Amino acid sequence: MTASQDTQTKGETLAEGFSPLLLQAQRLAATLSWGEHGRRRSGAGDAFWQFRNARPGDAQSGIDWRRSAKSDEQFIRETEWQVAQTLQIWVDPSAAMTFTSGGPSKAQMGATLALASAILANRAGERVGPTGMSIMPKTGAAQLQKLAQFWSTPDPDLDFGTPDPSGLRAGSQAMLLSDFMGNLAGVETFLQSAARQSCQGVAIMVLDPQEVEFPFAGRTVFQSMTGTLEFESNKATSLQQKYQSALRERQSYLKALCDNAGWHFHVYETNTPAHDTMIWICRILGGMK
Amino acid sequence: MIGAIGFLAPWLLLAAFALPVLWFLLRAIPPAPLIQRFPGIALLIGLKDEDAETARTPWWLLLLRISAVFLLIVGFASPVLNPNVDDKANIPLLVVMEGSWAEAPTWNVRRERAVAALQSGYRNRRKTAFINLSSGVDEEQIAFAQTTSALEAARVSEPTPWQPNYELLANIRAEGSFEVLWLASPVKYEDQSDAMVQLLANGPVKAAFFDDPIVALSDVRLDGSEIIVEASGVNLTQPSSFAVLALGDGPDGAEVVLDRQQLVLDAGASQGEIVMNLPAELRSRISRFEIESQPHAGATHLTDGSLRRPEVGLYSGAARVQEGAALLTLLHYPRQAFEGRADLVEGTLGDILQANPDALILADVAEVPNFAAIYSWVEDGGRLIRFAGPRLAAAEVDRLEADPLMPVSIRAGGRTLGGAMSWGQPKTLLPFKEGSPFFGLNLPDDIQVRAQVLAQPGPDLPNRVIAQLEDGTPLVTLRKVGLGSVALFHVTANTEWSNLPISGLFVDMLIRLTSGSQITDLANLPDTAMAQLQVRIEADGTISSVETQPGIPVQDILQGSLSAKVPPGVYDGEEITLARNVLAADQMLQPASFPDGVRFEADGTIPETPLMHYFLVGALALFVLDALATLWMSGRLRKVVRVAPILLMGLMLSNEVDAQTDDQSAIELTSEIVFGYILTGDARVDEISHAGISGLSDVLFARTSVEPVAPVGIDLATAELSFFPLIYWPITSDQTLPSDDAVARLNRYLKSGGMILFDTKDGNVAGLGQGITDEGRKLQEIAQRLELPRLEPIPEDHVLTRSFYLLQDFPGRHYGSRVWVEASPVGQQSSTTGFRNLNDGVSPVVIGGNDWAAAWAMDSLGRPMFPIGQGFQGERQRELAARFGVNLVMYVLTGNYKSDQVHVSDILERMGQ
Repeated sequence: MTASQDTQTKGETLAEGFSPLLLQAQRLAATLSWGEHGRRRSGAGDAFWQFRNARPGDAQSGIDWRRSAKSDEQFIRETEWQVAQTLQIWVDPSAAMTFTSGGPSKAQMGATLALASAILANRAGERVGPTGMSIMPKTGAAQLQKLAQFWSTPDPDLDFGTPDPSGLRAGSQAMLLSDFMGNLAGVETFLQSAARQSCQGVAIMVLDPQEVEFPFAGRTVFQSMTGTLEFESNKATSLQQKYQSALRERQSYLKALCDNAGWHFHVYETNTPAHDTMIWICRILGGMK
Repeated sequence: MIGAIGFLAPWLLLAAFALPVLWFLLRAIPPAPLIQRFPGIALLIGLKDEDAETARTPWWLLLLRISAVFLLIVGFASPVLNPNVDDKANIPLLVVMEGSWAEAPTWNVRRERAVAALQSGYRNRRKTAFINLSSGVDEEQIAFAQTTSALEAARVSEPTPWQPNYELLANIRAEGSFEVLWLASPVKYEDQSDAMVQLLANGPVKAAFFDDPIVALSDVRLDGSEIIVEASGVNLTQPSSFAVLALGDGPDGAEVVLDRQQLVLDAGASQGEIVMNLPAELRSRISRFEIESQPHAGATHLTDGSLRRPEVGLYSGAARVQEGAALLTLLHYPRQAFEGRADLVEGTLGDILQANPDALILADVAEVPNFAAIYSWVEDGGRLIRFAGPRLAAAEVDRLEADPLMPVSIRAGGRTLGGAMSWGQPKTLLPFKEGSPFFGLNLPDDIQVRAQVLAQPGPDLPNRVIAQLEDGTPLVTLRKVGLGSVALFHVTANTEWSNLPISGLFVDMLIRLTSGSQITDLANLPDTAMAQLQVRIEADGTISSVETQPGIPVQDILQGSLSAKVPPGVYDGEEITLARNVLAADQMLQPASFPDGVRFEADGTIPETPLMHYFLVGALALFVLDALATLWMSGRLRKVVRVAPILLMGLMLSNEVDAQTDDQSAIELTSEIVFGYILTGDARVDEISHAGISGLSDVLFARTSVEPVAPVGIDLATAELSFFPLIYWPITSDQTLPSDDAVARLNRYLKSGGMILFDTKDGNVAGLGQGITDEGRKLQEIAQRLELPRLEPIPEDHVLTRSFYLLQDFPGRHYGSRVWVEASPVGQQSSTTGFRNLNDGVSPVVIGGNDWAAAWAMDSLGRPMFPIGQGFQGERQRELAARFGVNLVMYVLTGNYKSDQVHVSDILERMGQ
């Protein structure tokens, strides 16, 4: 990187409010790379796929002379078909995601994971965009910046979010990042729609450690982040077991939903390193071995 | 009344009826819940609590709160244990406190007794009144009333350092008989008994608290060189010993105990005295005497000027004598004579007069400068002592008209005895006559007068001669002028004309002439003389200085009895300083006596005890418990418990005291020359400092006879600085400022001849237009608190430029920034030789920014640690830096020695002649 580019980057970094997110995501993505997306069939591409007998109508230039010289047949060298894929990512913009028990908020970590995935996909030449119709999937650094801004502005009035299946492209890959604490009907609809369009993907449940442990005690009034829902407990400790089993139940339900749609499900807690989850994402979406 | 407990405000107890209502109210309101934002709420909805009982306040918490409120109600109802039930409830009650100094030690107990009696009276619906007989000039009528006004007056009453005024009892307006509770002073006063007799006529009188032991100082006087302190005591149950302290200003101005003696007094009423034998120097500093652990005004005795040492001004007509000729100066012997006995003031006559000395010595001054000022000073009581001399003898003064500042007129020329050209033998002295201030002094027989000035004969002459030679000619004459006097020694103040100044007699004569400077003859004071209170003795024996006060006629101070108008203390008038103490010189304490008919308070009665505060504290404790319980219930107690140990730990963290420099290291530091450097806390800078001073030490070792050992890092917080002749102080922008204690030690070090080389290490950037650097600012912060002299850049002729090498620049690693030293005194810019001839002390600081340590620094193999400049020129600069170091060390170790050497050429020239 030359000095002037460096200065430019720095200047942009200072100028843009979302840059820490982008930097964090870049750091997370630095050591990883997307695998290639072979389509398991011959077509335009760099990787060798197969030799086949030349048939009438094949171009003369397609004949692999070295292979043909070994026998009496003429062989055509075919390469594997490689196309740029589309990755569509949904980061739950709801107020629930802004909850934090001291560390980074769920929204922050969700956006970081999403952006890191976007960076990796972009590096592999794939198109990246959010679900819905607002931003079309594209490649390029400008797109990353747009995404970073898009994902770092949650909607404070929305209690729980639902992914929007419209704009989902057939055959694309998708990624859902949410705490999945709201109504799961929307998620179910999305997954069905995705399955119909042979859209594969991952659903990652981002949870705060407090949401896992439920460390509350005494007389407590629980409110949803926007304050619209309220639940009063006179002895919060007695609820811990029940809460945790309800959480497990929800997770297994989500996993079942994903399995049905051919998706993968993962739980990420914001106090654990994001790198492991990132590797998992790479393995599933990027075909990393 | 419930059993032994009574209430002052029983109607408040009605509030207790409201408690059941409170019970229901509190029960209906559950403790406030904790509000928690939680996205997982979706999972909670539909879950059920196991038990819902905490929605209501638990009964035990309710009980706790109700008890707390109950305690509050009872507490504010002012419960009293064993309330005094007085059977004579129908007649009014008068509580009398004498309020004198003798009651001060037990005042709180007395006041509580008075308050208790008045409270009890009020509770029993008696009319009450209260009077403090010392409370100043209260002209108001004191009326009995069935209110708490007397109670409130008693609560705020205070003792005074004077005696009670029994006439105030006349202000009491009474109808019919009344009962009196007399809280008596343990010390007898003149009208005490009569006053009680008068009160007895109106009703019963009960006396309490009359037998406290009291010891007071009655007189302090000077007998020769001994101070005799008299004290008397009353009501002592057994022979006791008391410590009497003489207090005065210490060398640093703070009050210190100058002497402590044990005073032993017999039981009962007794008198005793102690003798303090103090050197004159200490004696003159005493400002007061005090009996230890007797907190009342009688135990404090202020001294006026009688023990004070005089202030003597010295002035000589002769020109300043060169150094080394001290024994020849005219003032040497008077100065020696007063050494330790008086505060000496020297300088110009104007300066001396400004100090308003008690005496002024003029040695051989013919034409007195500031004549008018001196004359008015003498008229106001100053003692002028003049010495003759060649100048006075030769002066062209009008011999006929008497000089008002001379006791006699002098004949021109004087005479010489026993010399080669004279007829007579040296003369000795005649014994002093009665009436002479010298009367009674021993006359050594070896005193010889070889020359003198003679007085013009006249009718007044015999009266004015106070010492004469064997031939009757005057040796010392004295004349009173106004309130003061003028004395003349007809010989010189040095040994030129006589050997009188080297005799012990000379000392005694001067003391006699000056010690009586204070006017002690108080009877002669004009009636209009006024004095102002300067220092006041409080009732508890403490001393407080007072704001400007109106003057009080001296006669009142001397003769009037002590009162609010004339409180005990030190008064300052125009001519006098008076100390008025609580006891007069001949006064002796007497135990209080009571007329027949006075009842004494029985021992058997249980004093009533107010219980209010116990109930309130109990209620507070319950409320604290309640707060903790509430926290616990809402699950927040754990947080408090978690924080508490941290807070406790913070409190318990004690300052670890670093080990002081022990004797062993002190011996090591002083047996060799050791240079020090200040540890800045920056490891790199400290390393460079060490290497730099080591490098300089090597250079010194190789080139000079200074052979320093390895330098020592100095931690300013703890180290003793005085072992180091030179301290190198590199300034870093982030070093911590020295503590107050460290600053004090630094100042002591600088004053006692130490030197600090400040190095801001910013010579490369300082003064390049950016203004002051961070290091420079730090240096300013440090230097502000040090007592540094005025500074100037090293002038060309400074000793530093030639103390070993001849230098004009003082480079270090940087070159050319200015180096500052103590400014030379004004008017001593340079002498004819072109060199400074007065640079006596060594500058306590050298300040610069050339980063010398880096230039001197060498590694373990003796190679320079840092590059300087470029090529040969850089090496030259390093050499100059080393030379500056050598010069600096030479300057530190030899002072202005090299400055003197510049006169060698002159001296050689003179010797050649």
